[in-house]
Amino acid sequence: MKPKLEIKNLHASVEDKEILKGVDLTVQGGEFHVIMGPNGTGKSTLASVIMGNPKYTVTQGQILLNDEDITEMPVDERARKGLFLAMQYPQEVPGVTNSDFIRTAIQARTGQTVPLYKFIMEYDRAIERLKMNSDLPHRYLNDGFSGGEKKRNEILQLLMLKPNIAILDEIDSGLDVDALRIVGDAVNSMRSETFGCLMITHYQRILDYIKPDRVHVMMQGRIVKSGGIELIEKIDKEGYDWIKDELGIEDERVIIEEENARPSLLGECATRKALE
Amino acid sequence: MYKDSQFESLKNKQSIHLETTQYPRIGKIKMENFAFDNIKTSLVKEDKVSELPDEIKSKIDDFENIIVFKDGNIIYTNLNENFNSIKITSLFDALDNNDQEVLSLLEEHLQTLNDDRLVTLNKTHLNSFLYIKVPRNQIIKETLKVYILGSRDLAHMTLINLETNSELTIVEHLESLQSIRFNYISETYVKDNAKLNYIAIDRLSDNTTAFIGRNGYVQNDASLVYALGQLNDGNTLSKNHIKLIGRNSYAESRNVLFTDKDNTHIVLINMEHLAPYSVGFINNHGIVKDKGYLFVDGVGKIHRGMNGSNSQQSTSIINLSDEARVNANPYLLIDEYDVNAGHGAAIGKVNEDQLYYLMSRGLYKRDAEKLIIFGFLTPILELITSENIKTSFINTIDKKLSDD
Ligand SMILES: Nc1ncnc2c1ncn2[C@@H]1O[C@H](COP(=O)(O)OP(=O)(O)OP(=O)(O)O)[C@@H](O)[C@H]1O
Ligand SMILES: [Mg+2]
Repeated sequence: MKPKLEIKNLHASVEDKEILKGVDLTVQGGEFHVIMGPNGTGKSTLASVIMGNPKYTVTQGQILLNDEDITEMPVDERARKGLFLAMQYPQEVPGVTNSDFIRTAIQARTGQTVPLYKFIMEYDRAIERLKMNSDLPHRYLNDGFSGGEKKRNEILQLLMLKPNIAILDEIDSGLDVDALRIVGDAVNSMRSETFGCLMITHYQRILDYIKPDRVHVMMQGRIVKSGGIELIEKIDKEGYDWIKDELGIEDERVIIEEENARPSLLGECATRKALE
Repeated sequence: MYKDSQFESLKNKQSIHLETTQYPRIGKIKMENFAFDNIKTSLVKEDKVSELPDEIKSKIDDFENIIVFKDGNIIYTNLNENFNSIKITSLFDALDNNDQEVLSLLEEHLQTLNDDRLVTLNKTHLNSFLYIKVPRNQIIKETLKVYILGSRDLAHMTLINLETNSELTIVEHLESLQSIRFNYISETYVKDNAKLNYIAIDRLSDNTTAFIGRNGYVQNDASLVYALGQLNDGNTLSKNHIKLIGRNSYAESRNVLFTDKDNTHIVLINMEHLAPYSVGFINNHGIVKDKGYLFVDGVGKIHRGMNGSNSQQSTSIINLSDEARVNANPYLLIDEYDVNAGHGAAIGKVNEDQLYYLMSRGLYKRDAEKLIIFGFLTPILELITSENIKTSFINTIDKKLSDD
């Protein structure tokens, strides 16, 4: 069956600050979508909310996975239903080995115990494919990993868990040219009718390996423009100003610092000076 | 029934001393409630067995190179020839053989008066005694496993002597076969350039109230590493006092502390630097659950003139429940300026970002929590040399984590 992720008019906030302000998006099996956008426009927040990070509250709208409403579902259940998020900043978990972790995850996902031998074979093969060190299974999860190693480890988990819908948040940031090719090829090899992918990126480079079907631009917590591959080329050459001009956006960020915080502080200082 | 008059009269002297000694004062905890004084001991001799009864077998994780010590008697030994050079003796053996070496050490021990009421109680009621000596230059590569079991109230003392240049790794288990009162002390001497790894796993059952005092004396260039797993199911007062008495001596006290149900566990650790260039580490990893109360005091003390010493201490505790309580106090008492020292304590819940990360791959919350907790305990689990014992230790914690 072709998987399908649907986002409908999604609003979400953290600590009473609204960050997502009405996102609509559909990703189906066989499709690769790209989200671009300047810093602080809500891309990672969108990824986290789709995955079910409990820090964020959905205030309006819906997330559907294969026509099932998962808006209120806990993160682990979403993962077991085939959703995956490669994080922009993967967490370090000292003391937990990569292999214990990924094996437990596969068992949770499939509901079956994985024979150790079969698991080791498959894990070693995936590690080799991503040109990672062979001692990786015994190292602690992302503990002391370089930026690039952490990103590769996210993709390694992707290969092992074989999700139906994957969101990759800046998987290309911090990778050298060779690593970029290895990761790009690995992700591209997942392409099939039973796999849909949403990639967040700032760079055109990764797209040398992965050809997206749709490109979206995020600003102010919304998707403000969608198009084909030509959109990326234009952004790469000209930046985002032309989109802002076109849409009449002055500040693309979601949260804009309040300007009057400083003067009130100054005022306080002045008062104290006067008292002295 | 034994009636060695000299031995009994020494114990009597201690019982007179008991009238003037007090319990240690620990926060607002009422030590009287532990009712350590209710201990009633007797000396009962038992024969060796060639086959352990099932009840005891079930408490044993590893049958290689073990001694089973029950109610003061060595009831079972299975040691290979590598242990031939070590001396292992019980009180009964010493009395039977009129072993002057051991009896005079015991006499000296019983003659010494101590201000601590719990130690005095131990001496007054002593009915279980184990002596282990590794002679000079003997390096024992394999691990010695000692199971100390009690089916009646026990006032036990283990005396360990590592002579100059010797080495040993010992795993000591405390287990109760009934609800008993357990008053335990060990005195460990690590002589010049000797090396002892001392792994202790305390797994006393429900309703067993315990005092466990482990004292270590570390001489020149010697090393003593304690790895203590305190998993008792009853109220416990546990003390670990290490005296670094030799130059360039080294000691660690690494502890896994698990306090659950409605138990109170008091853990006092004291690293005392009594020689220059001595190095001491205290490292506590605690988990509290249900309505448990864990009280941890760690003291690193460097005396005047002990230059070049290094005293480090860290405590981290995961609190899994809203009803559990934790009190952790790291102290550094330093009377010398040319030293290196540091301390810290952190108490918190399971790290939420780590939990989210693991769960985002499909792990059930419970499994994710367990992985994180075992990850947190890894620095201590790594010190357990026997795979069987490590597995059983992990299983015990696993079971405690799963119990609601
Ligand atoms: N947990 C949070 N707590 C407070 N503010 C947050 C939180 N998460 C996101 N924000 C804020 O929401 C805004 C959008 O952040 P987000 O990380 O989604 O941006 P982004 O588009 O991914 O940016 P970048 O390209 O830099 O990765 C930022 O102003 C950020 O500070
Ligand atoms: Mg981001």
